[in-house]
Amino acid sequence: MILAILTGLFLLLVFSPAVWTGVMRSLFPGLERVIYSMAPLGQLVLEHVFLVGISSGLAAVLGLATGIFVTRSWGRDFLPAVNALASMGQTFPPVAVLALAVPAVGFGYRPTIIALLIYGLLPIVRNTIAGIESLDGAVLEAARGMGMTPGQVLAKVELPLAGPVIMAGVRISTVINIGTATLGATIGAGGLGKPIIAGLIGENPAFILEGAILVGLFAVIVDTGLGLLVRQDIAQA
Amino acid sequence: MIRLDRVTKEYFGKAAVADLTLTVAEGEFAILIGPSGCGKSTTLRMINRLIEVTRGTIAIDGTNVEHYRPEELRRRIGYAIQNVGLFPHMTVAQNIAVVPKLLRWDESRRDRRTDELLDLFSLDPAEYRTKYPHQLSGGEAQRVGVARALAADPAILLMDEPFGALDPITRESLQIEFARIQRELKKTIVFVTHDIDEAIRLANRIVILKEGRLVQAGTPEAILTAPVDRFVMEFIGTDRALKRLSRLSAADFMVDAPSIGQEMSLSEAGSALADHRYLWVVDGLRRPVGWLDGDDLGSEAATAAEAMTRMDYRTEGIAADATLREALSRMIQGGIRGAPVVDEGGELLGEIRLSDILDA
Repeated sequence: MILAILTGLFLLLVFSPAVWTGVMRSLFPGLERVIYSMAPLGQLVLEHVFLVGISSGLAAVLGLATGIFVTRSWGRDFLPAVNALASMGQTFPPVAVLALAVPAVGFGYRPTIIALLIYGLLPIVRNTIAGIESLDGAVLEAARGMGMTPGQVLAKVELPLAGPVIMAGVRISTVINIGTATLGATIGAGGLGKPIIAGLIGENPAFILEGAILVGLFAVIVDTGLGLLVRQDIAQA
Repeated sequence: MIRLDRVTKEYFGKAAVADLTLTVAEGEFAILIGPSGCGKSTTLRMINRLIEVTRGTIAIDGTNVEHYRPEELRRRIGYAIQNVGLFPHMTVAQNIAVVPKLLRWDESRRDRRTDELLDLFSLDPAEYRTKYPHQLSGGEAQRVGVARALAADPAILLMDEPFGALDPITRESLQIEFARIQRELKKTIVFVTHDIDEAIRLANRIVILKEGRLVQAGTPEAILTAPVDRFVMEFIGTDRALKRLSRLSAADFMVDAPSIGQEMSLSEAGSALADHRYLWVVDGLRRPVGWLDGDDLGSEAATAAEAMTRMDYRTEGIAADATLREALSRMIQGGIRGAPVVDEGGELLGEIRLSDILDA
């Protein structure tokens, strides 16, 4: 229900500039231009979805794989290193990752996706490890003792039980990426960061607000949507 | 039949189990017991290859367990552990059906088997089938755990302190229930515990381990009667004579009880007493209500009922399925040398004499 209302509001703001103009004029009567017009909002949203979708999708797959790998008996040697990296990486500012990625792969969406992928990986890896490590030893012992293969233990016991914790990681990661993706605009990746950056350069608070509101709404919508998935998971358990 | 032949398990050069040779016959209830660190759990877990042996062989019905894939082997062996380990995201029925599902039984066969097992463990299928583990009490969860181990009807059952985490009352009732189930199913069971009373109550054979080595193996009676060394003697406790009595049933030591009806006149009772030191006095339903001995004959009373020393068969009678230990306890409590054995309705079946218990 909340999801439907938020989505409706989001679409309304994206596709009816008239509403924007009205609201912004009353907020900032002194400004000459109150709506970003270098590119249609719909296109910026699509760019943003593209940046976040690719990076978060890859982050989820890679993060889950890494988390599973280091909790297997044959990958456990890497657990301390990955754990340390995951907590350290979280303190690394995303802007720094962007700055480092540009010389490596040039301007555009690529360095942004790389930065977002690396940054988004960490909460997923950490939560996958935490979710699997926190499982009751007796449950795993029973699973093995009853004759499940390692793959069956993973698919039928570990992942279903760690699911909610892992999904929470995916959710955190995605929401962080939606916000962080705005930085991509500084290196030509497009997205909803564009009006914000343009507003900062041109000293136009209306542009900044326009981008910020849309990004915020988008993040809340995705967070709520993924939250529904998690809750269904728990309900099944 | 399970045969362990010179089995050794070493961790970092230190032996957890050393040179253990042991045979568990088909249908035998073998209990591995010893202080913690004696290697009992390690031994158990080597049978289903949760732990691999360092040296020696383990064979089931003549086939070395290493000939099977570990998963294949484990699906044929029931496994129940102290912390149960029910899958929290599955219902009771789904938990029980795990191994049948791994063995690709069809759904109707799985459902039938689940209900059958719930019935066997006195859990109403209609009520329990759809419950989740967190909705069960400790005793119920362990019943489901053992039912799950029995799901695919394995010939062998491995149990690692299955009743260890339960409160004493639940534990005892589950032990009694499980002993009944085992009499019915006759599985080959290897059971680990550190509770000697549990071992004496359940086992056909007790295997005592110390520091990875076998110290003594034998029937509970044999171990209680003739412990091989100080360690075993201390382990089974100073009350081993009493423990032995708990293996023996009152019904087996019961002898005929001389009795008379309560309406019998005292003079007739007197002649009946000529052959006995005392007589049980029974009511119309043959329930003992008192006893009569030589001292009572001197009284003025007309009938046996008036002259006798009164007793209540409900509290002083001994049930036929009671152990000699209980019978002895009753006699000490009542300061008596003999006690009547009664059936569920209170009818006199015979008597137990203190002298017979001392000779047992």
